[in-house]
Amino acid sequence: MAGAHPLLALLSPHQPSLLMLAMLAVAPLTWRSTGPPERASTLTLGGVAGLDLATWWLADGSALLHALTASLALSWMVPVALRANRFYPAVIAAALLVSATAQWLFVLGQVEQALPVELLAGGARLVALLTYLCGWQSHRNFVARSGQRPAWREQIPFR
Amino acid sequence: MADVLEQIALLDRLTAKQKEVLGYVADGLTSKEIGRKLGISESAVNQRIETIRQRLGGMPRIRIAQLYRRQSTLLITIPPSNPLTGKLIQLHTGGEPAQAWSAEGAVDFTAPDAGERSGRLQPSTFSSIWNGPGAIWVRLGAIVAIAFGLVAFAVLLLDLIDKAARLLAIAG
Repeated sequence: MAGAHPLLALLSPHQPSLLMLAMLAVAPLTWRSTGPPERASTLTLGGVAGLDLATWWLADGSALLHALTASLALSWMVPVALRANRFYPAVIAAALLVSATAQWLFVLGQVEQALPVELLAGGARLVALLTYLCGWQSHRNFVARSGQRPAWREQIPFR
Repeated sequence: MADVLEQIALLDRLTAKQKEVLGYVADGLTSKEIGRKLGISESAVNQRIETIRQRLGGMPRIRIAQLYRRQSTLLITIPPSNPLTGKLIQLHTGGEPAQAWSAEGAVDFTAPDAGERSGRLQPSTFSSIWNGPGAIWVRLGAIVAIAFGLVAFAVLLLDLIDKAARLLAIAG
């Protein structure tokens, strides 16, 4: 696992990394001309990166706080994924589920090594970010083709 | 079915200009392309489409296009010897059973290329499952399945990285 260390600088969700910066950057770059699922997704990704940075800076990288942040993001994204008539929010929600589960397993002592957890959580967030960018591009293509924003959900009963 | 017929009746009450725009929308043209064809601005096209949508109770553009294609009819002249003489024959573009659309005294047939022509805006199988009646459960299942897939992929990848690192250490 020693060979995975350089990946932390790129992927780590628990310390400043390239992924965190990218997640923070998507919101201002993609906010304009997007629908509710896109905005919910970008807020989730930007918010989770911001909270993780704050945790690293203010709370000395508390694993519990990182896990709580991941759970918060998941609880925000799952209802969006269940209601939106797009596929990519489901992939983002799944990635956040993986990220949150990995971190909770570490907090609860089910996984002893921090490195695989960091890589798993970071990798899942990378998937979420890439999926979001694909979904956002698809949304832009739809708007360009049809001349209007797509309805963001069908008439799905949600109780 | 009654709802659809009511909506089609509403389509009939649209102005000629609105119907013209709707025809192009049904053909899958963008607002910009329609504007170019009619010599009007894109915003004017969007304005007309918005008016149509309001008249139809805020129905999405794609649904209006499908509705318009359904109500499109083709009139055929039949020789006097044919028993169908004097009856209106309607060729519908939708996938509904032909007789369901029959008005009194009219005989309906589904156009042979209906599926092909209307296929572009018809919902795909994936879309009908994803947005169908049990959509929430389908989506929930998809989230869990994708999560399992991601974990499996990550475990394989981490294992691969670990082995590669060991090989590099041995080589070094």
